[in-house]
Amino acid sequence: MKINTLVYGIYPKTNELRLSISRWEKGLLPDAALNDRIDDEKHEFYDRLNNNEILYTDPLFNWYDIFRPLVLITDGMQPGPLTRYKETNTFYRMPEVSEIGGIKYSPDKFTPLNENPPLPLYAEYGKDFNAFLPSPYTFFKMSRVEMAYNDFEKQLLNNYVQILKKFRTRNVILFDSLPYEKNSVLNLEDFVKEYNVRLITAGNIYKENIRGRPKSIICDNNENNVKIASEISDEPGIKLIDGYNTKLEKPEDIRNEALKYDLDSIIITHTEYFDFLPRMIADKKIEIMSKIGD
Amino acid sequence: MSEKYLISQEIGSFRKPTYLSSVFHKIQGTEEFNVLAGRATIETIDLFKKAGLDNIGVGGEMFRWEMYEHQANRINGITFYGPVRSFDNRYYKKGSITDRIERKEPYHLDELEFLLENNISNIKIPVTGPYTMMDWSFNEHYRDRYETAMEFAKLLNEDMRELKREWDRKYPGKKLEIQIDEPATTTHPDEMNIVVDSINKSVDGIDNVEFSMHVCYSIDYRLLYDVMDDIKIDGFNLEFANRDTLERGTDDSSRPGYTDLKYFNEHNDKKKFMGLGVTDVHIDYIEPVELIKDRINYALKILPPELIRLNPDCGLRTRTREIGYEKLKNMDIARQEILKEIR
Repeated sequence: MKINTLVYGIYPKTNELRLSISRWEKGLLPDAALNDRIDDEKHEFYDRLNNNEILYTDPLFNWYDIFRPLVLITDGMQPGPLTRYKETNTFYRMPEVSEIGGIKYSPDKFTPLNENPPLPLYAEYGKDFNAFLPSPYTFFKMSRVEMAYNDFEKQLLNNYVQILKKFRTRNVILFDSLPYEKNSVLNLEDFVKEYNVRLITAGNIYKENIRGRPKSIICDNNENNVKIASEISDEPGIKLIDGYNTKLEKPEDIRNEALKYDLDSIIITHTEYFDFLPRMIADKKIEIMSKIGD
Repeated sequence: MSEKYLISQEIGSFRKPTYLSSVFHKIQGTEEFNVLAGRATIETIDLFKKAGLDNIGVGGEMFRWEMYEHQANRINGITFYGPVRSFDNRYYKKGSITDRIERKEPYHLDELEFLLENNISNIKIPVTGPYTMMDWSFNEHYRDRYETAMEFAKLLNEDMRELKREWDRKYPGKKLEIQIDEPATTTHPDEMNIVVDSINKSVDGIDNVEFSMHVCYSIDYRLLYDVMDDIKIDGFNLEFANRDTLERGTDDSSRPGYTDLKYFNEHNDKKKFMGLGVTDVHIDYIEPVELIKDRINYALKILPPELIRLNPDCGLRTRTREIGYEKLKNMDIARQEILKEIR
């Protein structure tokens, strides 16, 4: 079995970068200087992950939460009240969406924003790069929206196409943080025709939840989930690294768990993006992940 | 009409003076720290008295930096690997339980000793509850969340027994007030049994203490009200103003933040008191006396005055000392006017 590993979503910052952002918030560091600092740290992250042969998304050091910069660049959206992220002690600004208009700022260019460090969304470009975006399902569920879900999903995915074109990539990690209900439908039929979608899900999945065939469906670790993910995507994945706890996994345990499944290949990733862990622990978990894959 | 109606109280923290906050971590544990924290406590108590508070808490928690970290630093078995994001670029220290936990030193005894030495008795000691300590820690050691919370409860029980012993030396027979801070309560709706059991274990065998519980920014207080008869405490001090409007009026539509009091009253078989958050600690806007009176009068339509206490939603350390004072002052004026009207 071929084992691939993936690190996705907001990655915890170094103390130095947190201090730089703090200085920027107080007006002591200009936007451009902060942008350079973030860019440097992102490239250090890319180098480390490349050296360890781990698939990765941008570490999103300049995203205050998984919605904020997307909200700030989209007409018809604004950041709402501070809201608890699931059952954690970390808060995000709940998006308030009256409609989904066009994208106001070019997401690939340096642009100062209010209430969030500057754009660009990602520091990397090109065909091998994986963009990270919250799935329309989670975006809708974690927002206050004055639109029907189907319209929201369609227009959000249209905007995602605009973003991905700017970064000249066809690879995207769509992140669902919340579990589907049995009758939930995430309609990716058109989107997956153009893009290599790796969809990260939560909880139990049902075949009917996802329309269109993503390149990969990554799910919570149970036999039924993996069975469905292997049937309706090309390469299933499971979340075996704990993103909520500092306890360190043993690479051989993770590898053995993956080998229980009779598959040609599998993706191993973490249960939640690493921003809920101290940086030192996230770094150690990356080291562990580097020892799992082939 | 007894002055014991509508008792006014601080809820916990208050903004530290700069002379203390700017050096807090550098000098913590030194004699200089005790001098400055003591000075800040006395100044803050004077401010609370000037604002008219009946109960001054512990004078704004000048001996503590943050509610989780303060206790976790005094426990063996907890390791800090680094900060974790709270929101935006704000971070907090979240410890990892890496071994069996045990107290390495008392949590709040120095603070109580200071207050007793200064003959201050109208106090209420805030302590961080076992459920919140569990929920805000990573757990690498214990079997599950229930076991972890119960271990924290055991330590808190030891600590509160020490506080009570110290209190009894100075004021034998007089009731001590302790407020168990549990902001994490209701964040996991299916864990209310852990909240109940761990608080009950914390207070087990400690007599002649009035225990209250402070919860804030809950997703649904009804989860708490459903189990309140099972929790061995005397009352609650909760946040309400944050979820209310700034409009005048004493009807349901003007006071959406307080309508849950009806549910509380319907389930309050044991007649526990309710500390009513009447001023929002996350805005600089100083609620006018008339607005605070409307909030209190709305509550008085549901609960008798002997079951209502008045407090800010949460610790006022989020605001400047000047704004914090103004908010408390208006709370007291509103209280005095209502007491006159009731008479």
